[in-house]
Amino acid sequence: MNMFKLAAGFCFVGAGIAVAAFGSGFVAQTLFQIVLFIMLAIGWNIISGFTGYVSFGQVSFFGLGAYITSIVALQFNVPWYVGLAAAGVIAPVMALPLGLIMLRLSGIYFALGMFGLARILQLIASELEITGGPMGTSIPIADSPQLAAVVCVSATTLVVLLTYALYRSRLGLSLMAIRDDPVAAESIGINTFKAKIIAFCISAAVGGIGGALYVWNIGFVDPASAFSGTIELQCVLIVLAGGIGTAFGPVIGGLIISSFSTYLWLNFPLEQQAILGIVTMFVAIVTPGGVAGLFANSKLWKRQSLWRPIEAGATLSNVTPFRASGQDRKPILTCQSISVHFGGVRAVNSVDVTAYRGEMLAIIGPNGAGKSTLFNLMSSFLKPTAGRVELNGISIVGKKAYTLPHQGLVRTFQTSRLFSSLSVWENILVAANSRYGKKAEAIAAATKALVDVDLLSHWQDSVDQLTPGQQRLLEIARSLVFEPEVLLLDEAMAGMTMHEIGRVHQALKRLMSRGAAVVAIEHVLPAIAPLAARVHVLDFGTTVAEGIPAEVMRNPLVVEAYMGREDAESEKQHA
Amino acid sequence: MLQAIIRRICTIAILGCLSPALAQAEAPIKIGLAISETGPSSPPSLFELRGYELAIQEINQAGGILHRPLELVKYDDQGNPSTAAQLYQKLLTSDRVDLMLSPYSADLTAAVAPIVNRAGRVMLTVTSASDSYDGRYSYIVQGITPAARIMLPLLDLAKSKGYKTLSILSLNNRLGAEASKALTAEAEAAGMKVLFHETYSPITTDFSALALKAGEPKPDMILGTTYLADSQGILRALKAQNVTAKMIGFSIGPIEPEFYKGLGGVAEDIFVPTSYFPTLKTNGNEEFVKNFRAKYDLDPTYHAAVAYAAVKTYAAAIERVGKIDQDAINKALHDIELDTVVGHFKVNANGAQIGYSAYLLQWQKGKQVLVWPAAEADADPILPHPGWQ
Repeated sequence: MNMFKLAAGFCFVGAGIAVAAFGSGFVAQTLFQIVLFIMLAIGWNIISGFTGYVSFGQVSFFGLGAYITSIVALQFNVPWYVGLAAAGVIAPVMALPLGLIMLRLSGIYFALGMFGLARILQLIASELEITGGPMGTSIPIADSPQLAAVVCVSATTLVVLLTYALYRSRLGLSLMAIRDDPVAAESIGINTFKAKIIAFCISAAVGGIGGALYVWNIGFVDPASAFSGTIELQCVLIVLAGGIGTAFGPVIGGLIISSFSTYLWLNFPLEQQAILGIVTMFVAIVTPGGVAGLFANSKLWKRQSLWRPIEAGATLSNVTPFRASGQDRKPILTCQSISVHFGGVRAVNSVDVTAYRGEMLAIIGPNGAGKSTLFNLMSSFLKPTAGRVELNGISIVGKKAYTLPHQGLVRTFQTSRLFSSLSVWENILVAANSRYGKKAEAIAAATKALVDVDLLSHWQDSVDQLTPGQQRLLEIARSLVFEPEVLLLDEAMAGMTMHEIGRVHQALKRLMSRGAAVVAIEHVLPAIAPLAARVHVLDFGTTVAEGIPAEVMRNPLVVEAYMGREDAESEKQHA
Repeated sequence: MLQAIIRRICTIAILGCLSPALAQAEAPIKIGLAISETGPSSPPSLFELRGYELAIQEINQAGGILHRPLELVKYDDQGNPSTAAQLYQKLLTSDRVDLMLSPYSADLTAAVAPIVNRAGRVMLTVTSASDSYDGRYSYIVQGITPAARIMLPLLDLAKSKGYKTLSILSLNNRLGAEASKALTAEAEAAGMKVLFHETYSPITTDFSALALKAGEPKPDMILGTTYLADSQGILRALKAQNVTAKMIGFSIGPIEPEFYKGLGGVAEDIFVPTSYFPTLKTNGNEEFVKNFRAKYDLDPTYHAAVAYAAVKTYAAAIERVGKIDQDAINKALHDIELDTVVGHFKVNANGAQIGYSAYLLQWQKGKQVLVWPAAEADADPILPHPGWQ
């Protein structure tokens, strides 16, 4: 099958190049237009489809590439391919500082920020002398339309292969995880900012080469065309039509939309824009998943998981524990007088908590007591207003959340945060990739984690095919891949069957037997009572009581505050 | 679509059966261009289009060129350079036109010149800036007075009145840059002083600050190398800020009837250089003006005249060559000397126009009047500018 696909692709590209080389000027130009937009759409898909950062300013890189190649060609009088290469290299270098700024934004703010960026670059291009000013400048043109088309088809083929490699790589998997849930991605040790910057720069390189090809083909560059919103719109349309976030969606969408748009251009040049606008709306409404979405479940199109688990029965011995850990009861995670205030609200107020190696600390308290906030402080998702948090005696205050899993502290979330577009296997694998440098180690660790929670038979499933309990198990397994020293479980066992809870208990016991500490928030005390060595009761952000479970549960303060409050809470809900 | 294919097959079949000469007699010579029928440059563009259409109509009524009728293939580029470039690709590769004309404005011509030249097609232009005629394009030939020369009649008149100082406002585009550069050089060569010179972006809409700064050194002249909308904007700002000078003149904008319509009395006494005027005693001008008025009920502007002259020049060059052969026509256009309605057509080896000259108009009592050079003038210039009422 793979050989067949490869051969088909090879023939397809070969035919394209032959048509480009030996076709008439008209054929070459038409092909150039169609293929160029495929390339631009792929560039947009990398940042907006894979990474989920929808951009309304990808044309910025198109324009940068256009101007880089123009300036290089005019100032240094170099051959065209040097100009193209310069665009492919300099555009991502320029994207780096831009990405450092723009990727601090998210959602609609990123989209608008990028839109603004394109407008700013357009203004700069209009003002500078070296760019030729607002009305543009002539530059050396390709020797023939055929040459331009051959180069465009070849470059786009390379870009398609590059995207496919990215799609099937560790980085690609991380990017898709970030798209699905950036917070969960951080929690499994992915430096989301770095991954996004890399994606941003790759996407800039593709856009830059596209812009360079465009101006080389027409021999002219001007700010309004180089940063044209129409080009942006057509890229978005192509990706939406083909299937956003898929490897070949932009190629299919590009072939369809670009051909259609070129047909319109040749026959209805003045009405082209309006018709394309209507088609965009139609596509967005009728096929939100694009063409790839229509065939998403067919065998040919279904996304195959990256790599695969080790076959049952094979040895898993090459998985190493996270750290050599002792058995003695030593404090590992300590919070000293930790507080966090949101405006006037003291969500956590001067709390002291210590987790010890080899045992479970349960944190209980009514809704809004500050339990999850305390977890956010412990895992550095929040910075405390006052107080210290130490892991193994080293302060972690102010550290980036994604660094903590690599130092042995992993957390889960109150609500399930799986990566919905990844398979069960990939949900584990993405964490294993973050933990282990070698492919074999990552696969072994991920396989073992799946076996631990009894989900190996489901490895190819998508996560929404799992029961809620299985989904929670999968999340715990994702944390266990790290073989953590400290595991923070936020109501991890809510919604599980007794059998599933038993599975989790087993896994936690094994973890603790190696000297790891488990800190668990639970509403349902029986779910952890058998395992908890100590209980810490929170209410209104302060410690109400702490000690061994039996003692604490007899504490009248706890009964009054916790149980009483619970009743009040449920009455409120009824009303 | 199917019809077109059938028609093409039939044409080929007929071509095969009949003698080549007869077949040629039937096929029109296609002349292609894109022009800004919409957008801010549409008033001058539409005048160019009228000029082209009138010339084609006259030639076809007289039996065509080489016994073949002319057919205009035109698109609207909306004033956008990259749209123009794509439309010229289409004209060359899909429409397969025989002759090319330029889009409106030097900037759009610069955008399409590389494509047209690469295809080895002749393009006779009516755009002024020099960078399309500096030797890099061997197939591009200029049929209008170059940008560097258009402002000079203003200086000639100023010299005769003893004016010594000027402020220059120039639009940041090809025409603006080149015309203002030449204006500065010529003024300084004539011993005048440029007290203020500022360039503004094509998207500028508020000219108040610019008007104040231009008037601040109290120059004898305020001159603008402008297009239509900006010349109107500057003039409104001069009036609003009560800035005046002895002579106020702009390029291009005041040529258009729209200029006066939009400004009314403010446009009075404003000067504008031109390369053509209906009262000129040039070859065939009387008939041209008569036919133009009859067809459009308008006086021809210089945009209409240069366009009209371009088609007539093409016709002369092709008649001389005797066939549609791009290289031969190109050579003929470079060699030919022809008296058109605009003046004496003659280009140098790079295709730059060296024959056509420039004149000066002034808005007097709601009408454009030819006031310079004195030999051709219909009236005396009103100077100095009387100030704003």
